[in-house]
Amino acid sequence: MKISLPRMLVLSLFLLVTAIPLVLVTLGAMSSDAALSRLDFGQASPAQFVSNISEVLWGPSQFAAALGNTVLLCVVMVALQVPSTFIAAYAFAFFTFPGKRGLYVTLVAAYLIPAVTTVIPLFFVMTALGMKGTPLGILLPYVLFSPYALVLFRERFETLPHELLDQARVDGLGPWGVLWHVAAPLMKSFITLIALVTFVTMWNAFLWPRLIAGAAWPTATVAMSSLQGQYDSNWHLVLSAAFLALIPAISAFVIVRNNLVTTFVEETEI
Amino acid sequence: MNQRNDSVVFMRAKPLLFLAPALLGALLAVGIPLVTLLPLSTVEWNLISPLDWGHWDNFARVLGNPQFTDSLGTTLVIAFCASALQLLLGGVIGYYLSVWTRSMKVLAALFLLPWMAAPVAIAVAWKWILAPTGGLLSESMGFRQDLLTNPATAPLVVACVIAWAGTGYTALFVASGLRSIPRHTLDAARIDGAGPSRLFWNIQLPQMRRIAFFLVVTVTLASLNVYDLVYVLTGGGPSGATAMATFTITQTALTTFQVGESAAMAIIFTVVELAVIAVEYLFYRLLTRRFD
Repeated sequence: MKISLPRMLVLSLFLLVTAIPLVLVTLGAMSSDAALSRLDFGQASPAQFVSNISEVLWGPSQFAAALGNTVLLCVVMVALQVPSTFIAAYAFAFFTFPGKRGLYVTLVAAYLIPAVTTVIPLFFVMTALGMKGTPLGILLPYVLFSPYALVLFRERFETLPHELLDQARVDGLGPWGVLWHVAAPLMKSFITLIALVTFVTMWNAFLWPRLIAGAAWPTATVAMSSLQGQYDSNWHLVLSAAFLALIPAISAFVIVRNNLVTTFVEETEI
Repeated sequence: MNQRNDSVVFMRAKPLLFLAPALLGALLAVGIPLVTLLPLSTVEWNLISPLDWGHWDNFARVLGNPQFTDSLGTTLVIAFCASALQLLLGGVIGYYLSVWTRSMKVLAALFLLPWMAAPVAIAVAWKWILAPTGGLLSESMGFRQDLLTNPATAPLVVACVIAWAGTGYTALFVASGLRSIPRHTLDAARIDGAGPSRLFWNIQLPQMRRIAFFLVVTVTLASLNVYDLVYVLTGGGPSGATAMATFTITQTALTTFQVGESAAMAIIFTVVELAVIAVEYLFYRLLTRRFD
C-alpha cells in the first residue's frame, strides 16, 4: 500500500503524543532528585534507576508490599473470574433453556450501571460483613463475573464451527467434554487475551480498592496515589512508582506485540 | 452483533451448573448493591447515629444541592469533550491505520499502551508534566503556567488526558471495523466511479454503524465514570471545577458521611447516565433507519 503524506503525518504525530509522556516517565524514573528538578535528562542512568526503584520498593513507602498485594489480587481474579464467565458464556451460546434471552440481557445490562452506584451500597454491605481492609473485601464482589468478558466470550463462541461441536457430541462427548476438548482449545488465544485484560483491569483498579481496603491493605495504585500526595516534590520517586505500575501494560505490549493486535483485531467481532 | 447461528448444540443439557458461578458473581457485584441502594437512599445516617429510614426528601435535598447539580454539569461537560475528542481523533487515526503493513501492527500495539496503563500512573505522569511549580512544562518554559490550577482550563486538561488514554483503543476498533468490510464491496463501488469521499459516506460509514455505536456507548460510559484520573490529577479542584459526579458521590458517602444523600445522588447519576445512552441510541436509530 502506498504511503500518503497526511497518513504519515497523522500517524507519526499521534505516535509522538502517545510515546512522549511514557518516555518522560521512564527518564524521570532514571533521574536523581537534583537532576530531575533541573530537567537534566542527560544525567539519567540505569544505576540511578536501580537506586530509585529500590528506594520506592523498600523505603518508607513500602511499595513492594503493595505490589505483592496487587499481584495476588490479579492472579486470583484471572484464576476465578475468567473460567466462571467462560462456562456461563458457553451455556448462553449453546444451550436452550427457558428465560435465556432475558437472563442474558439482564447480565449484560449490568455493564450500564455506573461503578460508583454499586460501590456505595457494596461498601456498607462489605463493612457489615467485617471485610473492610481485607483482600477478601476487594475480591469477593467481582471475583466470579464480568459482563465485558461474558459478551466477548459469547460472541466468540457463536463464531466457532457448529458442525465440529455437533460432531463431538454425536461421538459421545457431554457438554463438559465438548467444552474442554473442542471449544476451549479452539479459543486458546482468545482466552489468553481475556485473561490478560482481566489481569490488567484488576491491576489498574483504584476506586473500589481505595474505598474498601485503603491504606490497611493497599494495592499498588492506592499506594502510588498516597505516595504522590506525600512527596509532591519528590517526583523522581513518584515517577519510579508510576513506572512500576506501568510494567504489566508494557510487558503485555512486549510479549504479545503482534499477537495481541491480531487477536484484538481479527478475532473480536462485534 | 453477528448473525446468530440458531443450531443449538445441547438442547437438553442442564445449564444450572454452568451458570451458577457467574450468576452468584452478578448477584454480589450488581444484584445485592442495587437492591440495597433504594432503601439506603432514604436513610438519615452518618455511620454513628442510629439508622433512620424513610427520608424520601433526600432526593429533593440532593437535587437542591448546588454542589451535586454542579458536579453533574461538570461531568457532562468533561465527558462530552473527552468522548468527542477521543471518537474524532480515534476515527481519523483508525481510518489511516486501517491500511497497514506488518510494521504498522507494532505501531497499533503501542497505541493500545495508554489504554492498558493504570490511570493512576497516567495521571501521575501528566500531573508531573503540568504541575504549576516543579512541573516539566513550567520548569522548561521558565515561567509558571497554571493549566491545572485555573478553573477555566482544568476541566479541559482532564478531558484531554481522558482522550489521550483512550484514543488508541478507539482507533484500533475503527481500523478493525474498516478492515472487515469485504474488498469486493469496495472494488464494485470503485468500478461504479465512487471517489474516496463517496466511498466513505456511502459504503464505509454505513458498514461501520454497529461498531461506531458500540464505540460511542463504551467511550461515553468510560468518560462519565472517570474517577482515578481526576482523583490524582486535580483532586476535584480547583474549587470544584473538575469534581465529577463519581467524586462528589464518594466524598458525600465517606468524607462527610451523608450516606442517604450519597445513595440518592448515585441513583440520580445512574438515571442521567442511562438517559444519555438512551439519547445516543435514539440518534443511532434515526441516523441508520434507512439501512435497516
